[in-house]
Amino acid sequence: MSSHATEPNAALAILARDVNKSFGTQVVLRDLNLDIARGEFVCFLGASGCGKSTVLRLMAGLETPDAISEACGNPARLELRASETSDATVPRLGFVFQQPNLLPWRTVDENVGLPLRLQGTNRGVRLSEVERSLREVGLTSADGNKWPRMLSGGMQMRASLARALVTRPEIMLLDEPFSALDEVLRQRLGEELRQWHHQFGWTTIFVTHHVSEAVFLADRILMFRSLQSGVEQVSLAADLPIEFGVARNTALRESRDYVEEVIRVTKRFRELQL
Amino acid sequence: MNVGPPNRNSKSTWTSKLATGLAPLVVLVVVVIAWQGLVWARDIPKFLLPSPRDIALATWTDGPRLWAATVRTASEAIAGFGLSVAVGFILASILGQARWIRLSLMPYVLVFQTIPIIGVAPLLITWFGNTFSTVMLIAAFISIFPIISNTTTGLISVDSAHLDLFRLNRASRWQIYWYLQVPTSLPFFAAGIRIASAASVLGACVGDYFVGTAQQEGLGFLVFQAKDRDAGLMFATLLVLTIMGFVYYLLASLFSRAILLRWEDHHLR
Repeated sequence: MSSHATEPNAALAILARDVNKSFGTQVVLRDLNLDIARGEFVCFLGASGCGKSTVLRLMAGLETPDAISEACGNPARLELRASETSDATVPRLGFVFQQPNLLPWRTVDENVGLPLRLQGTNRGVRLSEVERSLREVGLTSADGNKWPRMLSGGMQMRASLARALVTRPEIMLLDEPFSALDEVLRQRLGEELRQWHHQFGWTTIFVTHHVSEAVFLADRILMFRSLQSGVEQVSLAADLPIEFGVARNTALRESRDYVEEVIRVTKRFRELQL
Repeated sequence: MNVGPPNRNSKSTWTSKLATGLAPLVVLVVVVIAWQGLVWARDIPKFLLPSPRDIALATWTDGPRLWAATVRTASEAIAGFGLSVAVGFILASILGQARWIRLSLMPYVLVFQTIPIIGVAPLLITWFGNTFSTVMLIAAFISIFPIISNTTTGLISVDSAHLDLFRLNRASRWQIYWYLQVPTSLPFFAAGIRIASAASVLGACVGDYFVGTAQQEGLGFLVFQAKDRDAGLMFATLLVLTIMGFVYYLLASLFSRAILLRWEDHHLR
């Protein structure tokens, strides 16, 4: 919804202006402009290879944007803002990968505690934070003592989520996290994720190529389109608000409104791919 | 052993284990008897081919001398192996830091590897004399390359998603090395250790051959000494060397298993 651009800056969590990304001569993201408000749950929806994961990686600092926009000559601006109540200038980030991405030579506990260990947090705090995180995502301390390979795919993803929330992030970035899981598990984790989003006060960005998943989770869907060579166009193609309120549960999933919304968004998605 | 998954739930595990253990022993007994029979039947002179009985006698009569040489060579091999593991790991860690370091140093590592030890040994004797250290250096020289090469490969085999995870959490260079590169490299390092273990025995033997004197004889020197005088002793020495190489390999395998306990997936059994 374009009205987000008019909201006061203090409520902004993420701001992007004239953000481009090219690898060598290949442009993968062209002139991205967006505002994401604090507390919003935004889904990036797009076909594979349309650069939506690149946007997430840019936000996480894993890639750097091109210094200036080729089209308009402006310098790129990509800002992640800490909330006013936070004493940090840079917000703490959580990042969830497509695969659980656990280190096979460390126990689940050690994997979950890794971000804290890298920050030099002392052992006592680390252990209690790890225990808290495991509990939040529905794992037991017995699971924490296991090797990652001993957990099922769904539990490995829970461990991966626990690792992302162990640092108490303000902004949570998720890159198609549930795409390898079965439908029922994906739905259940989606519902839980939406709960955590409110409970922990996250600003959440969730990348997916499933329309139904995006409609269920999002307050707002940003649709991305593949860049065709030689055609001047922006890669961010549509901005759709989803107005289902806070409660996202099985009842919503089975409601007529939800189904109609999925159909509407799918139609839009199809048009954009042409 | 057959190729294929191990048969774990079979009830005949115990007997099949016994058979697996016995089979090589049976072969050994058959070969020894045939060897002894051949030497007797054809009346082969001892200097050409000593019989198993001659070898056993030589082992008995020259026991103390053989034992002293064995202790010496075993220590030289272990010291050389330890040196090559330590130095090899440090060098690999430097090489594993950046591509430009590998590009500028790897050619010299390769050249170093191709220098024949036969040419280097006299030089080392000039520098360090006929000493234990010289033999240790020769053993290290021969066994260091598999360590450097394998460990370097391991250190740069880091999974890109794992690296992303570390960069997301603003890991320092040292943290990436210690928490990510080193664990990733260990299975490769373990494979290098096993190759190096057998090579270090070979190196110690070659070193003995060059460095040995009557006062300090290792197995390599003893083989050389016994060649024309006592074929039985020569064969006994060879036997000890073979067993030593085998035992070192087994020890290195146990060691590599121990450091790989956390890697069951990639376990090189």
